[in-house]
Amino acid sequence: MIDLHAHVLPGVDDGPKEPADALAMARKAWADGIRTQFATPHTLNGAYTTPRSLVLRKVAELREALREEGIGLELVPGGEVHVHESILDLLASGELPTLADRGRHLLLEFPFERVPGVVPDLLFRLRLKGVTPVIAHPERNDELQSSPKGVESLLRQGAWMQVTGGSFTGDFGTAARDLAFLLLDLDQVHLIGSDAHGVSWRPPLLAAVRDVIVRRAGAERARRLFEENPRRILEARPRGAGGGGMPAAPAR
Amino acid sequence: MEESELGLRDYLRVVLKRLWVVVTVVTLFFVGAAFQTWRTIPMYRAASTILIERQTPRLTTLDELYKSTAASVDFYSTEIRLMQSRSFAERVAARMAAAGSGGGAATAGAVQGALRVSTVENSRLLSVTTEGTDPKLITEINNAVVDAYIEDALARRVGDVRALTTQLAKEAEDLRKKLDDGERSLQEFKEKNKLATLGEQANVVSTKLDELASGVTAAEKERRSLDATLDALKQVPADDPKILTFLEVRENLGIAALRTEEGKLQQDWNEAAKKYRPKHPRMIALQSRLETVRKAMVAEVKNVIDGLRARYDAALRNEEKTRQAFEAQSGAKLANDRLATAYASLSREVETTRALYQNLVKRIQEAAVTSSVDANNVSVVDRALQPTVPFRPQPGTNMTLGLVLGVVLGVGLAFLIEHLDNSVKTPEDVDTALKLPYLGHVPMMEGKSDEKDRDRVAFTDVKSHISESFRGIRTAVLFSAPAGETVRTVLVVSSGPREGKTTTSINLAIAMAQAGNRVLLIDADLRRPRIHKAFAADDAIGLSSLLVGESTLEEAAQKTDVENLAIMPSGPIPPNPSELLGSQRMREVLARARERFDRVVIDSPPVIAVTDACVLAPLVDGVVLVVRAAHIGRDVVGRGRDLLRAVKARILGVVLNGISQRRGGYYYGAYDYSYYQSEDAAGGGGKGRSSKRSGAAAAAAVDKEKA
Repeated sequence: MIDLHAHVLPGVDDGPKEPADALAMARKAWADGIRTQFATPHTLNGAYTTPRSLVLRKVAELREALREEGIGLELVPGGEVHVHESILDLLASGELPTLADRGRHLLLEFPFERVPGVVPDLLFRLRLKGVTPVIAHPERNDELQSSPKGVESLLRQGAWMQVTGGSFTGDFGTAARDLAFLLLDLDQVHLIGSDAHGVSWRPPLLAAVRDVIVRRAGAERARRLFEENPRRILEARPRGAGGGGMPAAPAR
Repeated sequence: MEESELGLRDYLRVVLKRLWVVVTVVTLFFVGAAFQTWRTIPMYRAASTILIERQTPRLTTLDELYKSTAASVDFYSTEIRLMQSRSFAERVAARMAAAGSGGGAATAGAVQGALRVSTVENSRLLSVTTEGTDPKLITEINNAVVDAYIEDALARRVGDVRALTTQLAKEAEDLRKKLDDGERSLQEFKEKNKLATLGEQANVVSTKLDELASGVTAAEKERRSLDATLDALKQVPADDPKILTFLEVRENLGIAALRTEEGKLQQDWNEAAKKYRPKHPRMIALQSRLETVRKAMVAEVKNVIDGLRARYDAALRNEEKTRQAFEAQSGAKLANDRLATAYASLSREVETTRALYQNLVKRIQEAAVTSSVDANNVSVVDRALQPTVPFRPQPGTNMTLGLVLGVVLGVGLAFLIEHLDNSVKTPEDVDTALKLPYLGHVPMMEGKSDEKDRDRVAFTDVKSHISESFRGIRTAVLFSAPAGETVRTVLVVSSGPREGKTTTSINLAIAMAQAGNRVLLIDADLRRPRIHKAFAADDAIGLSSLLVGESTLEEAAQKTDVENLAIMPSGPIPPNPSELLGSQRMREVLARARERFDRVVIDSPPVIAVTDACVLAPLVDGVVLVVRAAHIGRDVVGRGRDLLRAVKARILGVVLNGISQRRGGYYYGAYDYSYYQSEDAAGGGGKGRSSKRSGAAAAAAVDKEKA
């Protein structure tokens, strides 16, 4: 399994404090069947600013530690970027952490209570720059919970939807669970992330979630959500590296 | 004013348009009414009126009197039921047979069937009607019914009184017996208890009882007084001088004498003591006499007390005796009282019975009088007259009703049809209702489930009817411009969503490309773009990115597998499509596209929902309005047309989309099919626009020239 969303880098955000904690999380993730994990620390959310360079350094350090400990988990750089007026500037100057550091997919976080009015414009501008926005846990957003139609306009603008695994198991309340299943049933989910923050509190576990999804939508869909779509992000060609680039549409 | 006139004219137009509906319905109803009238057997009706004075039932049985329930049965409905009863009908029939009227047709069943009885509102009248096909018979029946009823009513009333009198007489007899018994037992009671002078005896007993009561009180008082005196005397010793305070002691004559003597002796003793010594014999003698007197006094006091005790005993005995006598007398009085009560009860009962009996006797006398006076309370107000005109059918009313109903329903039906038929579905509708040129139609695509195939049918299935119809539309579009002008840029719009404008624009572009022109198809529906899906193209770069300067025309316009056709996808969906489409850059993009391509076809969002199409319309040579046949109201299409006209757009005409084979069969077989068949053959036809046929031929010729 590939976990698209996890706070595993020690000491950068509200994830693990010490490298030892990060290693414990990695062991747990490995034991759960997670083989690849995107390290997506918070940035631009008002509390943490994690520039791309820091993410890359921390990922390199943790990779080294994992290798020394003999943990097979493959770590991929990324970032959970909160809606912010400087996103486009930072993207242009190469300081924004993108998924797999390819500059093609941006894990975008909304405030939990609403969808900011600038989002349509922001998505348009990101797409103009060849960046596919990946909306982090839309099912936990109050506004989308009360009007799920909002997801459709995000999809029309070319955004992907990343649902938190725990939402399916009710960890974020019934509203989040209901919307998660609604999106799954409408085939409007593209990616699943654990959104792990620690070993015991919000741990990096996805196997149970995959079972739920297999039962609900079938093994083929689960494979798409946990393997195929994340792999498209991993294998995306950097923009300007020749050709028309990757097709933006996720696997259907 | 003008509007209402217009409205009226509109109504008139609808009625005239659907005149055959109105006429048919009116004729149907009129003929129906006539037939119904003709079919109906004439019915006659005879009517009479009876007055019934309702008699308040003064004659009641005792039971009813006691219950005091005003048994308020609905009198009139009872009478009506009586008249409608079978037995009554039989009596009427028998009566008529006896009188020889009715010609034997007046059976009980005929009477019952013909007869209707009803009350006349707020009156004491009954209306008796008879209906039937024979006016003479029903008149005779009617009169026979009235006569029989009056006779019946009289008989019934006399019978009532007789029965009642008999009943009352029997009850009177019973009461008489009861009264006799009561009086007898009262007398027996009197005799048995010797109550001849019941009142006097009661007085004697009562006086004696009073005397005894006061005797008891007096005796008790004396006894108590003596008892108290004795008790007090017991407290004082007999030789104590204090004993003299008691009246009984002081006033005792013996004691009084002794006291006098004692006083004298004491005086003697006091004088002697002055002269003599105590031991002197005279002194001793005096002392001894004094003591003797004193002893005698003590003895006398004791006697007095004994006397008192004896009196006390006597008083006590007297009291007891008197009390016994009183109690005996009390018992006697109680017995006497009881007898008096029983007697009073008995005599009251006798009095009641007597009063009832007298009342009943009076009633019997009254009944006898009433029966002879009030029996007849039914009278005839109007007798039935033989009717001359049947009451049913009424040809005038029937025909008028048929006519009015026919007109109302006919016009209603006409409007209903007009209302249901509001959608645009034929070329005539385009012409008459929309007043727009007709460019052609697209048959409904059946059996093509793959959306991609359907969207590009002109490419995937070149020989199909559908592809042919798109080629026809292409021709019509190109020839819809005034002479001397060419249509280089075409905007495809529709009033509402799902009318087929994207399919039309794709296939129109393909048809143009197939004619050899270099064609660019632009997806200007920046809200729900679809063209990139039909061509499986990437929409990351397209019109929007071109408009914001993120890409060039060369990047945005992508080649396709259709020869001569390039598409420009929408690009990323912008937040403000109308602004982008209305920008100066859009004009520049169109100008450059004109330079590089022969034809530009632009797909846009629905015209009514958003302004995008209206923003684009003035920038192009012509607008094609796509209408899904039998799907959308004329008013809606008209609104879209008006919006386009408001921005000075040149509307080339209408494409009717989705005409089903069945519904469109008329156009196919009779006209259009041959029209398309002729296209290939009409190679170098004339250039005039007098007919569609020659127009199509000319278009083909133009295409060939260009190629």
